Amino acid sequence: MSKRWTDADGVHLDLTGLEAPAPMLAVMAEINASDAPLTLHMDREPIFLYPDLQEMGWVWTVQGADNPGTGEAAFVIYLKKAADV
Amino acid sequence: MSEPPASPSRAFPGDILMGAQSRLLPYHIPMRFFLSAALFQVVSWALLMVDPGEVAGFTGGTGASLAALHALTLGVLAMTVMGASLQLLSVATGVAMRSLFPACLASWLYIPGTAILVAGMGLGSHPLMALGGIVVILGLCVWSAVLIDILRRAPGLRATVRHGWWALVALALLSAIAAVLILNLGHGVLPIYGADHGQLAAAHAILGGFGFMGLFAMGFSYILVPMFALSPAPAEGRANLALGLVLAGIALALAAMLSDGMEMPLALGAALFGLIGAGLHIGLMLGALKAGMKKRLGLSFILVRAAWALLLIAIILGGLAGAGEDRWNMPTLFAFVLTFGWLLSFIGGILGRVLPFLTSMQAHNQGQRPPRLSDMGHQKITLRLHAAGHVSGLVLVAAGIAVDQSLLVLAGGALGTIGALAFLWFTVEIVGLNRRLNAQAQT
Repeated sequence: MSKRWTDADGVHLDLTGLEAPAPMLAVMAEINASDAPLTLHMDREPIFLYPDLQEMGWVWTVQGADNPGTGEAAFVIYLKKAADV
Repeated sequence: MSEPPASPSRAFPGDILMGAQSRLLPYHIPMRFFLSAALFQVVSWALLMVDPGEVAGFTGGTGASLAALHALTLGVLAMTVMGASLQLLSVATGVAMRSLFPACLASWLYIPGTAILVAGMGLGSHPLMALGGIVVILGLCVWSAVLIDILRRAPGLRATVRHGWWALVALALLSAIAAVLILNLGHGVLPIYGADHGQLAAAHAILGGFGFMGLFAMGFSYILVPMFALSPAPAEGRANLALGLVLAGIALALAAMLSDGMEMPLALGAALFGLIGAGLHIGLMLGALKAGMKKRLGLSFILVRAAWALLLIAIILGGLAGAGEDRWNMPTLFAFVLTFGWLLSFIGGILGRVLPFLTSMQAHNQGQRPPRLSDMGHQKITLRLHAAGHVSGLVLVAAGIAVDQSLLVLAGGALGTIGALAFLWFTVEIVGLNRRLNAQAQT
């Protein structure tokens, strides 16, 4: 089950611990509903998502944690609609 | 909450990202398998035209028909399974390969080995067949070792992993039978324990078509179809039930091939189990497509849907052939619909989407911005021409086999070859794009 919260910089989704394709579906549902900036917290870099994100006009930056602890995200991905950049 | 990094494209903070990169293999490793598969697809269709009169009544023995069949099964189907498994399983499961060398070694053995084996079959050269067979089996052993390592460490995707294990069991059995068959062609070692060449060849075909390649096709579908349709994964319990039913069908089919006097009930039972299992699998796939956020999946999924229909037809034809029906050249028609129909149509449809998708993932992983998926190459020409040539080739060759008309086989082979050439064009464009994007990333 993903966790969702809103911070000053936009919506956050914690997708750690989820098995594919659940993280991809959660992200797609979020960006289909809103163009607001989105921050993803994930165990793995979502490379399956990138082609679809590009097709839908989103850009992103990726930050990896050097030594994530148990339950911590190994990757944080910052998503923005291209027009917002 | 930390601020996003200043980099406009992506951050490269160190080892963790390198770990992700190692799961996405260098483009040239999977692409060498896919490019080889596209080449062998041309060869397999073209070989049907060499001796079209022999195709309809083909019951075994060396020559162009045997070479065409193995150019397809080894050169296209297994080749694609190897490339796709190395790339997709490691990315989807998150299990990084320990070293790239075994994957490269598998390709260095398997690709030329297949060419030698197919040439040996076409020329009727036993030394070439023996050499090619040994090299192919070595390549498959190396690839299997890599795959076993990934499957063993995979933390999830249990339905796909389970299909992978059973597919490897089928591969081991069919490879052993293949070695005996090649030995028999040169030295006449059969029958062994009452099993003659024809019976073992039929068991080899069942294990290859429904076992090794069929199970991989089903297993990969549980990753690929939800990924392309953006839908939840089908229920694992139902996927396991479909797998169990298909395995029961394969076991009964093998028993029918090797039995003496019980062929009809065993073959019909095999077809029944196979139909229910395949029907359940197809139902799960159609459910995933229906539930998906993406509804328009293009020409590729029209081919995939056609392939699912051909899977059911192949099982019915196999049941009839196993039960002793020999009108309409039933055993040959079954083998053609199983390989060129179900498996080749499925792989053609899936690769039409996978290749642009992989290219895009590779580019993004290197910080490059690739073209849109639909803008890669001349897909509107190449994939349409491929689908038209493939489908018309299938219909004509199947009709030619059923009514024993070599002209129909010849015409179908020609159309299929045109379609395969179009697919080769598509693949060459994709590989070229990968090369350019990779070169840009290096500079």
